[in-house]
Amino acid sequence: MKKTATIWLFIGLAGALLLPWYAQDSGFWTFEWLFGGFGSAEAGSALTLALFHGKWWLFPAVLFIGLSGLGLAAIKKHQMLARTLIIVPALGLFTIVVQGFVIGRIGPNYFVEFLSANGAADGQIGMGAGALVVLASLLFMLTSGISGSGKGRGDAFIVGLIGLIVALVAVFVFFPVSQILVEAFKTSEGELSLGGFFARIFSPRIWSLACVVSDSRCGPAWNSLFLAIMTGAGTTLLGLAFALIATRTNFRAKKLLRVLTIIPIITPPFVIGLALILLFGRAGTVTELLNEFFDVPKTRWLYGFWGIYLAQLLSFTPIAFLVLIGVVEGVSPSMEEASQTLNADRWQTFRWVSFPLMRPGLANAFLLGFIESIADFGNPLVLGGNYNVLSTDIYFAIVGAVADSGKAATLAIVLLSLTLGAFVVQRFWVGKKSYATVTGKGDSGQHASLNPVLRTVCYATAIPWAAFTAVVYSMIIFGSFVKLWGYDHSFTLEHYLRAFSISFTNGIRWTGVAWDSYFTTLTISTIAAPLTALVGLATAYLLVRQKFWGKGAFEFSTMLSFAIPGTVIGISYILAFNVPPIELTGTGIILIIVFVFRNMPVGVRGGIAAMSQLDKSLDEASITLGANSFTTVRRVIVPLMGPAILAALTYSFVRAITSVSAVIFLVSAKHNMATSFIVGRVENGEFGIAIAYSAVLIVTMLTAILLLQLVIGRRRLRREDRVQMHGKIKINPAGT
Amino acid sequence: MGHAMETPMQRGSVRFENVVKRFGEVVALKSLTLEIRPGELVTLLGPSGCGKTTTLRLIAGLEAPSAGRILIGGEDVTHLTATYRNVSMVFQSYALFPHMSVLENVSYGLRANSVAKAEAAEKALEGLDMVGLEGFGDRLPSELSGGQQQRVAVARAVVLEPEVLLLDEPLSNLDAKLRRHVREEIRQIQQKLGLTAVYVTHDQEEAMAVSDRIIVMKNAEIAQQGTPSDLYNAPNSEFIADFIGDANVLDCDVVEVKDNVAEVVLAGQKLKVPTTHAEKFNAVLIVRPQNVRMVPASNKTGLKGNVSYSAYLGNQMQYTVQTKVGPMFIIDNTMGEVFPVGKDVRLHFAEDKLALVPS
Ligand SMILES: Nc1ncnc2c1ncn2[C@@H]1O[C@H](COP(=O)(O)OP(=O)(O)OP(=O)(O)O)[C@@H](O)[C@H]1O
Ligand SMILES: [Mg+2]
Repeated sequence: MKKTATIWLFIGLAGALLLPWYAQDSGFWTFEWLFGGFGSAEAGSALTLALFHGKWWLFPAVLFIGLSGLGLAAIKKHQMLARTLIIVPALGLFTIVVQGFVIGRIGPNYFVEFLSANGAADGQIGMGAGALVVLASLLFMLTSGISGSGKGRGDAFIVGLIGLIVALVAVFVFFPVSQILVEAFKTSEGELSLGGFFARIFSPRIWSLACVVSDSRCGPAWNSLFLAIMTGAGTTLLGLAFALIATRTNFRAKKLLRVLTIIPIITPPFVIGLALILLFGRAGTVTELLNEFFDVPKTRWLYGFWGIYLAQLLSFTPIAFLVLIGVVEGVSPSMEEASQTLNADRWQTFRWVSFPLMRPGLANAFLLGFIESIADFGNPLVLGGNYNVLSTDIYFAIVGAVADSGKAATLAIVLLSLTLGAFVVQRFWVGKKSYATVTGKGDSGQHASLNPVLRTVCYATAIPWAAFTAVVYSMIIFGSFVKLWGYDHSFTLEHYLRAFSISFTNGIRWTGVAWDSYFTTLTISTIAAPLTALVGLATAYLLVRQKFWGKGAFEFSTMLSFAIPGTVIGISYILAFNVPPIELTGTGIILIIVFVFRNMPVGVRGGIAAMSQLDKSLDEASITLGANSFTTVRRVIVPLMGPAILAALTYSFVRAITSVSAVIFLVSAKHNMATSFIVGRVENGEFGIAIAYSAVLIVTMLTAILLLQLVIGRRRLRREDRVQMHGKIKINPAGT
Repeated sequence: MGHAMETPMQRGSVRFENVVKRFGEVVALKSLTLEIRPGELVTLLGPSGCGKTTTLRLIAGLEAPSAGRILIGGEDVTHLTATYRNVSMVFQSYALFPHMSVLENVSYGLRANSVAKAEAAEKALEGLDMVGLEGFGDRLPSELSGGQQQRVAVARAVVLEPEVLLLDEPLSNLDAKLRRHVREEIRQIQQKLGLTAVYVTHDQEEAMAVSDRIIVMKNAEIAQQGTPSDLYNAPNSEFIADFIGDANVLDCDVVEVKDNVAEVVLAGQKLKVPTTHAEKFNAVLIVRPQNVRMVPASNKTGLKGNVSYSAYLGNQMQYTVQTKVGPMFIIDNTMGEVFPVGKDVRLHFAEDKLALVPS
């Protein structure tokens, strides 16, 4: 305890005495603050600002670090020191957070008169490096105090890790979401009001059912809900058909089925919508053909419910397939064989044994489709027409003629309630009823094959659907190479050139319009992916391997951000991080953070699955051999978790490239992302360039996935080489 | 208690003081107090779920007690985690790190304790020699047989020269013949290095064979502890008598207790049985199968019986005899007269080898 705390004490001292407390306009890494000196008003440290610039409220930062230092130096009794290291840093954290919220950018937010009279009238800007370091130091002194107090089993590393993740989730998930609530409670005058809140949440503008009885439109809440239920049901049925074909028939092209499931994951969000427009829009190929040969009038049917529905089915069926193939495979063949030996025929076996066993899995797939659909932003944006849904309405409330953050916040709360509702249902109702039929025992039986009727039904739905998906994707390639879809189908490279041209006069110049956002996207995804994997797997490690107080709540809160739709996250980040104490909007950092916390749940799930398969006695063996938790993680767990790490990396990288809903609120002129650039093209009707860009992104992601597999896959190969060698060569132990 | 009990203890001793362990509602240990002396091999024996593994994990520091104190080498380690206790453990599943070679596995603990690489490798090789695995250092665990993996796990634990070596059912994955061989090896290593060892097993024969002392547990408590012969010859309860070796448990009347001898009436027969009780008490009589001698029915004395089953096992005869006090299992390894099924017999007891336990 003492060693860890002392290290953090010195780091904290440096933060409080030397580093600039506030964020620097020129950025920290330019080191311009070094030249302004830590005595200046802009680049001052907590100590100098408090002493020479009248910012007395920064004193606690110095004070509590100092007190912890005194404690470390003076207190000899272990228990007493531990208690001191809990109380003093906790008080420090508390006071620093409080001053951050009390004194805002343009002056005090609370106790206005008193503080204005006492030097805080000018307010303060967002926290910077100094504040970050001081807070981290206090946090880790606190956790080392907790671990030293002997409560719980964790050593300093474990308690520190728990503290860190709790703090991160609190700051980057709970705090922003709570800001939405605050915003929704505010009246237009900025006062908090409960009555106004309920009036807005239950306003007929959101909940109107007018479309049932008349021609007027329904509220976006019902629209979203209806769409989500339809999509959940549709994707589940299609997914089941595919899953049954993949596991229960001798279908030849099963490999192809698997490929078909990966493609949508690496497809940028508008691509399917665009392809549908190219096929079924007013100038679409199919529309033209039908018009020409059958005199079907050209209509705008695609823009509305049916368009979104079709696009969502195409986008989310693969997810349902992935879930359901596990479920269908999980039904133990021996159970089906048992049923058959009891003289049940194939149909009875399916109806009485296999299907009931799959039912919880089906419910899971349905809820996943439900959540994905209700959170979906890209498809409704492109195809929505007059069919308003919550996720896009939130966006238009912010970017519309008058930015109305109150309305956006209200819509966000409605959306959040719907997804959280589904999430809670899934956890507490379905979660309890799952029958684990996959055991450690090798099951060598054969799955019962499908009965002919069912097989025909499966083929009849799945094969046309697969063909349709293939057509949609070939449209994308085709569309990027023609001049103007629907009007001028002559071959051109124009779109690619406009987006990605390079000029070689005067050295290399990236003249294409897309390069900027392309490089930003790659940089940010490359930084975000390992961080996501790290946070996700660290959380998984804590959940699977450690016991600590409040673990259930901890697990729930880390999974929460999965149920929060991207648009909600986006708007909450604007509300929370646009003003001190944490000002991040307009930076690249906020993009990285949003990716990390949005994609973390997948890392957590993957990590949990992988870690549950590692026998716990491996960790325990390492610990009893005298290794601490950190060494155990580094030398035993990480090396054995290769595939899970690969999956987490790949997934978070791909998600960072393809996600749009949260990002679209957070990009800035300086940090534009590929997807928001594409949104801009789509809104201008420049489909060609949008599609060309999407195609390039797909190729980029495929390349990255292959590279990752090569790099991480290599290590395992080497081990196998060695295994083979030793079979033949006699080893001389003295030589080792 | 206070300080009077805290006589300085030597390296390798283990002491539990009123240790309680609860898992939520489940009480895995009810106030356990025990003492293990340095250099001793103690076996924890008992039916499934009685708290053996829990006790072991508490010594290792993998679980924290809900109440009570744990001392190792005289030092209070109650709040010390496993990393900082000088204890190592051999797991039932071996828990060899599959991505490390045998040598890396064995030197892992040394490296974790900051021993220089060369020195760690040297010690690890010595460890491998000791368990008879010289030359296997570069293999992966998956390239070894079960018994070899077992020995690597032992080597990995003992090269650290721990104060206490813990073994949780270390032989349960091996076949009967290998079990016997490896358990002798473990015992030899333990005695050679003078290690304190705590050994968990289900198998009472294994426990008798390797232990200096056996602690029998039942329902989260200690039922009895002592040397193997203590437990066998002077069980303190019907449970122990039945658990350690075979026993006939017979109802009887205690007439009088005087000078550590109890006068007992068994179906009219008077017997003098040694006891530690000072006064008369309700008891059952424990009769080991080889402490009964069968004589022909022509004898005037002895309990009357009729042979209902007999089996020839080469070095001994086994009988079941029906008597007034119920069926009795009897072993005759004198290989004298053979009594066929249906024959009337009389039974004579070796009275000084009988035991009385409270009923
Ligand atoms: N992590 C745990 N959570 C809840 N209960 C537990 C846990 N570990 C053990 N128990 C319970 O504590 C009791 C003692 O378990 P323990 O593992 O010590 O038994 P054991 O004597 O080793 O049994 P076996 O011979 O079957 O290995 C059992 O009732 C068990 O169900
Ligand atoms: Mg056990």
